[in-house]
Amino acid sequence: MLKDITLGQYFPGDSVVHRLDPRTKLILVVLYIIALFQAVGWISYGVVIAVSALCMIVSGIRFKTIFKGLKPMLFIIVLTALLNIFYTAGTPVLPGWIITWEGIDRAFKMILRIVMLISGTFLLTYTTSPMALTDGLELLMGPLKKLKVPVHEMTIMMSMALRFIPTLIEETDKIMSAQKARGADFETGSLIKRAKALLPILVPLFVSAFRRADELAVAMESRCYHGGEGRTRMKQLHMARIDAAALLLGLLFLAGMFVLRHFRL
Amino acid sequence: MAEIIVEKLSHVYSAGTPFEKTAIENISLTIPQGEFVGLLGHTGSGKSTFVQHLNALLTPTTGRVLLDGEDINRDKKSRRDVRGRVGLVFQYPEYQLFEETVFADIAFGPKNMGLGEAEIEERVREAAGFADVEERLFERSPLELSGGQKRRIAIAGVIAMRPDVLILDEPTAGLDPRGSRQIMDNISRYQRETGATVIIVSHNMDDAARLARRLIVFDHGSVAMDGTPEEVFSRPQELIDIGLSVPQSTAIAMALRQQGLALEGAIYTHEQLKTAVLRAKGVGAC
Repeated sequence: MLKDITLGQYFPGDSVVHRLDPRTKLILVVLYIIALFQAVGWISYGVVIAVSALCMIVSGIRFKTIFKGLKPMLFIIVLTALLNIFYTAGTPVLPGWIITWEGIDRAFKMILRIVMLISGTFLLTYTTSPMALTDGLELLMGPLKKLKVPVHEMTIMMSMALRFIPTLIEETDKIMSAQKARGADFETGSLIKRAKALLPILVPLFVSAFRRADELAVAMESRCYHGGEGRTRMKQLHMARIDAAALLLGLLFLAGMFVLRHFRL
Repeated sequence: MAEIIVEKLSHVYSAGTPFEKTAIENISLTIPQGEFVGLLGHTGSGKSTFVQHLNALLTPTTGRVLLDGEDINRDKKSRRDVRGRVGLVFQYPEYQLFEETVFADIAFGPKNMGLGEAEIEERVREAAGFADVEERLFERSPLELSGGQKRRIAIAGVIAMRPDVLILDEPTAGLDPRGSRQIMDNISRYQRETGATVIIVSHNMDDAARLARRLIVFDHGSVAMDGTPEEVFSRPQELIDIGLSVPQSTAIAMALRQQGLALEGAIYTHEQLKTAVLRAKGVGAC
């Protein structure tokens, strides 16, 4: 069960999407999100769906994988849809009903918007290794260093957090087994009883997370790590012609969306 | 009484996914009450997977595990009950300590079994005695004690459930020689005084040779050897081929034999080595 978590998972591959520079992909995702929020009519939503479907097909990531990742969001999606159905003013579907045609229209668009937003960002994490992603992020935010924003520290924290997710999941599994061996019961009883039953897992987990963090810090310092100052990279990132082409296409897409919005399509 | 019978046990991890991996395959064996077993095998040989089946933490993919003739995976209740009878101490058990005091941590198991206050207190004192945990430590926080002390507290936490079968996964890993010896002595005293079955998972051959009266060697998810230490250590080359070490005395005996010294019999303790060398040199045993 814990192993099914796909947060920040990377599926290695060799598609065009995989080969793009992480910076390009990050910028494209931002463009995509802006474009998505320009959609008002069904035609523009159709265009967004077509574009992201095309990207998924090119990336070789199966639709099934992406929709699996949407599962945890199901609750939020359904809740938003329901709120929109019931709380939008307009013409009632049947006389006297609280549900309006406008509400249904808005609910569907809201669902589409959330699904497209999440699956677009999933495409980024599925096709970009966490290391490449943080490297790209650090370079993109580079100019902020002039404003004394600790960009390097932030990105290294992010990559470490990602790196330790599987380790912590494994650790949780181990501790759960060990406490079960001592008769702990996580599955039955009232909500309060079950919440209390988590204590024997959480305390050792926190203790070991702090111990691990300490050890990691010492290991890094003993290898002369002292922050981002003057640090070079093993893998240099290079923008290629394909990145320029992708960015151009992205800008065209965004411009197209602005045009569609202007005509409220 | 607690006799464990394992019938054609196999376990496949992540079945039906690309990450599918057979951890143990078709294992059948019987472990009678009161036996002291050493379970040997290199990392990834399936020994840890195997022991987690003995107290129903893992469910067999195929096959059965019987305790006193009854399938331990019958239902939810039997799976829970078996954990009080078959105590499993995991590798590095000190990382499971979580209570505010040593006493409370040792009492966690008995409390989960639903025992009364007085009974719990009695069991905690008894378990602490077996594991050399001094009573003056009872009110301290387990997290501030030394590595060896923590390990013994964690072991006491399992002993406090008074299991008929005590399984320990690498109980001496990462401890200094004195700490290791103390823990092995604690375990062997528990076995002697309660008549419980003890299974020690290890790749430290010297511990296994010294205490266990039966050795089971795992290799690639199945049983490669099963017999007394004499039987197993009389085939040292096979152990080395599997990727395990042999006890110090066996290694010395092998080297001496290669040098042309004709040593007789299976050698796995210092005593046996001494006797064999003296005999080969024509000196009477002293």
